[in-house]
Amino acid sequence: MKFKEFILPDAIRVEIKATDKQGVIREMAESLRDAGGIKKDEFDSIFKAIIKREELGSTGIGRGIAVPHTKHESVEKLVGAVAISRDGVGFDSLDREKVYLFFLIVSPQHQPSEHLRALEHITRQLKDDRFCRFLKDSKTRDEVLALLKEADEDMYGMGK
Amino acid sequence: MTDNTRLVRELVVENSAGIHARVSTMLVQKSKEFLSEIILRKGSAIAHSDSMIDLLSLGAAQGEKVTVEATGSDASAAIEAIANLFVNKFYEE
Repeated sequence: MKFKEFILPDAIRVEIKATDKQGVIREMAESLRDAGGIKKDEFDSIFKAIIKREELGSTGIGRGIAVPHTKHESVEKLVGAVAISRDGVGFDSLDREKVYLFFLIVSPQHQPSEHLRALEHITRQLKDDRFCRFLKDSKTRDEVLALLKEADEDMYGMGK
Repeated sequence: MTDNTRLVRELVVENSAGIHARVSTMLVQKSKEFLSEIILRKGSAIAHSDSMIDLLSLGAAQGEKVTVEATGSDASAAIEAIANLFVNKFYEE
């Protein structure tokens, strides 16, 4: 699954202000709501579900990356947001490192394979140090979009 | 048993959600209990079992085959433990 199929361009934030896990998730869920990816009246329920999922184990997957996510009955299609933190945020990651790059995913209830395909695409690209670094250094939404497009065209990662 | 015992076993992903984030965490934690180096392969993709990024990038879904390879003095116990997680559907269902 390509980035263009699930990342909403209007839900990309290059300089998030949040300094803790809850704050990051709130800011990203808000960007998803404002971009029309999730319904306004489902915001609280989705936010709480993502936090609850984090309580089962951090989605900080190492190398400064986190993929907070949840399934939710109110979405019909998998949607995602991207955020970058300049100073990094403590996220209880397995490697205990701060997180700089965030991909938040909300997926429909009964489509585990879609969720897996999105995670697969994100992590395949992020295994490439250049992609990670370029993304972290992005200053504008357009730069992020250009990088995601390049990744979709197999310029990074393991290709597919 | 020598220090470089190498064992390989083919496993099938049986849980409906596949190797997603929580399952990856479980695999990373289980691997840390052993000295052996553990590698999972799906087709041409390779994942070190101590890396969530690697494991998630396999995109291993229900029904797919994954080859597990353990190398080290406790390879036998390591491969047994990993296989156990697969067989028990990662205790999710």
